[in-house]
Amino acid sequence: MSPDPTELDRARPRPREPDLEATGTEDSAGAALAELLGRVALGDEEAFSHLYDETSPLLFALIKRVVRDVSMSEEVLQEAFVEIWKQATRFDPHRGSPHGWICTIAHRRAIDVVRSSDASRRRDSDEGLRNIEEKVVDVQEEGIMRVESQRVQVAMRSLTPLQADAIRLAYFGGYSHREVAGLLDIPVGTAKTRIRDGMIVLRDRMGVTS
Amino acid sequence: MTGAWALNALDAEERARIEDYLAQDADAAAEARSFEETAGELARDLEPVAPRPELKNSLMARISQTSQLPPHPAENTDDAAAGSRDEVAARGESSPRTHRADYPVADDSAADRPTGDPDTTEHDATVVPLDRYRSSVQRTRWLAIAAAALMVTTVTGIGLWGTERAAQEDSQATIEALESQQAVSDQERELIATIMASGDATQLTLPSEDGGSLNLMYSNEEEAMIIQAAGLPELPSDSTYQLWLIDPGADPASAGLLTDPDKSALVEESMTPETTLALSVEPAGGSEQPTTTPIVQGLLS
Repeated sequence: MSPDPTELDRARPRPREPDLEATGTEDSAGAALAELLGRVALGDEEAFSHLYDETSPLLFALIKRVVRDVSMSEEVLQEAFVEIWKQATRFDPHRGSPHGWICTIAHRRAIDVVRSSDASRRRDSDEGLRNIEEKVVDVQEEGIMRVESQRVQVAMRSLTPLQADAIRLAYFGGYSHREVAGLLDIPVGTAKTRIRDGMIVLRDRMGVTS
Repeated sequence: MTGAWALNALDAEERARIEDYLAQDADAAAEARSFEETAGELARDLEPVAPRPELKNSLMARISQTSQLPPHPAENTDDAAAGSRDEVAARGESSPRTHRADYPVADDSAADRPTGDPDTTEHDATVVPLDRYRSSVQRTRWLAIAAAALMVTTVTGIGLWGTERAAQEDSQATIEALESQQAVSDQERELIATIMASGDATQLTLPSEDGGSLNLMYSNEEEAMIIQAAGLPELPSDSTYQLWLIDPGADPASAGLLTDPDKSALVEESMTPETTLALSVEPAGGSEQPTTTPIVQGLLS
């Protein structure tokens, strides 16, 4: 269920410079999102409509990446936005960016669905194991690299291969850290450490401030 | 495990455990938050994919029926971990209320809650299973009745007990069908009709902190309210649910017991947009004044 790259190229709204710094455009986009979210928190449906227009293509891409099934992704997208609507009252711009906040909501929703729908198939059977292996091949070869921007790619390149694989499998693959450990054939503790170390590098390389 | 946490790579139990831990450790919480932002950056660089336009229509219809959550002092582990209870509490109080989900924050009860309570954090986090969401939006019995009553008031123009007999007979059939099916009392039906015919009929769903919710339909003008509980936990026989109406500066006034949460509660008492409806657990037979912190509170604005 991987997105067709040519179609994606067309859908892409703007080229992105391969710099590692957060750009001014992103800052002002962040401020605009924060303003929209603030209005959504007041129950402003029009603001919610704008917020949806602004962010749904990205959230849909993220959800689809994790969930893969399109119709299930559509459902998750709607659930995620309902959640954004309900929780907008609790968004605090001092604690994180609006972008990070909505991505967290969408990603958690996607993960929930993947875990619940795939759980038995993925974890409890030989067939499930084969599926996992096939997916890993998918993840590694057909790949995530192609759809990552250069900015992420550059940051990703500063990771060790194990760190990068662990983070990709967890975030884009929707695997738990235990599954990640199994897939990469490393102890669970090592998987945790690799993920954390890798996240520290990415955070610093991508200039995330908190 | 902050990294795995930010990537949502923990199972529910581990997640609860680490959120407990994050609530105690501000440094770890700050790191977790920065990782969450980092994860968002990873997402930012995916190729956007526009969803089908139809999705937006159904979403907009859905949110117009969906209450927003009250701002919450114990809203997530980050807040708790940052140790900035005052700031958070202040924010809770000063946050504007939404035009629809107008239940005020149960400030007292929320402040009483342990901030690290895994249930709380889990509940307030974004993880709400789909089926739980669905059940929360399922139409309750009285909503169906209300729909029938609304149809009636629309047809007759001036209410269920209006003068146009034909229309009334028409609607009577619907109501009778509902009645036989669902044992609607005359009183209940009349109250619904009164509310639906009022100029300020309002429908509100208030979540209970113990799970479940109260569905309200009320009219302050008519001083009439009907309450249908959904999914409240069953109480031991020595306890009961009790409803309260609380006006600013006054003692809570009992609005009756909810001995059988499956039945609608009818309330015909003085109420204004400043009145708060509350639900508490009381000893069997009820209390003069609430003896426990209400599990549901909502402003009847």
